[in-house]
Amino acid sequence: MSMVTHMEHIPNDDYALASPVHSREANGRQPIDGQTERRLEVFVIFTDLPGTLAAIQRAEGLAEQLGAHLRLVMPYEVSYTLPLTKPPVSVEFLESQMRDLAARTGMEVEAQVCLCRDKKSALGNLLPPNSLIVVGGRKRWWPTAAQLLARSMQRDGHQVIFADLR
Amino acid sequence: MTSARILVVDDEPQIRRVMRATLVAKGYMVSTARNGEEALDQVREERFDLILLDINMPGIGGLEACRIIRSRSDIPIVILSIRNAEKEKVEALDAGADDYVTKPFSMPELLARIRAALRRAPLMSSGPADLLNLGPTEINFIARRVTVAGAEVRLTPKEFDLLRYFASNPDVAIPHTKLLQVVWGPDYGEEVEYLRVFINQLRKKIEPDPSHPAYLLTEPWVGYRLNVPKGLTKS
Repeated sequence: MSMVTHMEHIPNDDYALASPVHSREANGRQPIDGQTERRLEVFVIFTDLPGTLAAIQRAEGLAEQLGAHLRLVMPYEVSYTLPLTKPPVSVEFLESQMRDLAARTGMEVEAQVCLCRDKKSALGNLLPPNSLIVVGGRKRWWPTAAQLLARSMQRDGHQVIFADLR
Repeated sequence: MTSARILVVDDEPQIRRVMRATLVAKGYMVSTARNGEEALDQVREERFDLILLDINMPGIGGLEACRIIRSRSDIPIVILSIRNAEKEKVEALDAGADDYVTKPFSMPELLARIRAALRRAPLMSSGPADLLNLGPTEINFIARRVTVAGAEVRLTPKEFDLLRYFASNPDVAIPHTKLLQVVWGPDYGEEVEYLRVFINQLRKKIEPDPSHPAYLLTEPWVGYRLNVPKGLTKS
């Protein structure tokens, strides 16, 4: 388990990363990555606590079956009235939330807080093209914020799995 | 001399020992498992021609194991049990067993039942061919190895199970639900997005051009199909 609190600031003031909050190696587990490609990653995007927990649960099974590793990303929007690296909620608190979530998985996981002005554009910069993403939240007739986020990432060409909170 | 592979599943070591000795002496290849979980793992990893399954075991019982194995394959299953009640026999046969033998049993009778079960299900009738060639991709189901243009590609167990099922049903459009239930288990059926992810991964690994798949084809509104082009061999 390692903890790094430095902020990686992107010059155009779009987003900043406090990374990685938590990184744990799988206990003696050999990665099953193919020899022909780099290790696959399953991204879990933080939405809210219950939604993210559902997403982590779903992603964990998926990552295990795919021989992938988990990356937990929390995009946190900071208003333009504040400097990007000084959000209204302390970065330490966000990091501790991520650490708690990451600790609930039994596998290799890397968690990252991303301070940004706009969640969607920050994720667009952060995620590699055609990523495998799990988003958790409630599914409703009138789309929830999590559903909208999932749809927007799907439109960006990612493979998105929605973990429905029932 | 027969060479059928038999899996003996029983939690009692003496029974496993006796069965192994008897069956090996009769020319069968024998593997053993101590409980349902071990049996399921072995069935996933290896190919058997028949399973002798005890009902009373710790963990996943014989009945549940029988149900799960039957949902994934047509291997003949002979149940061994001390229970002699009609209800138990009906339950076991309904769970997918092919025969039911009550303990204590005479060895000649059990051997006769094994021969009968094997006669009804000719060896390897339901499994895929040992080797499947798809252009530059060669899949060896015995060694669980996949090579593309000579280079080995590592598949996860789930990806391999999926590919094995496709290879058992070449050129057949298999519905999403069927694939999910066979590969992931009877509780699955609606998680189509899972399938999409795994098919994408498989395509990246075995297709020459994953964005224009030639072998793992999507059947719109139905599921997927393994296209074995004419002239390519299955042995």
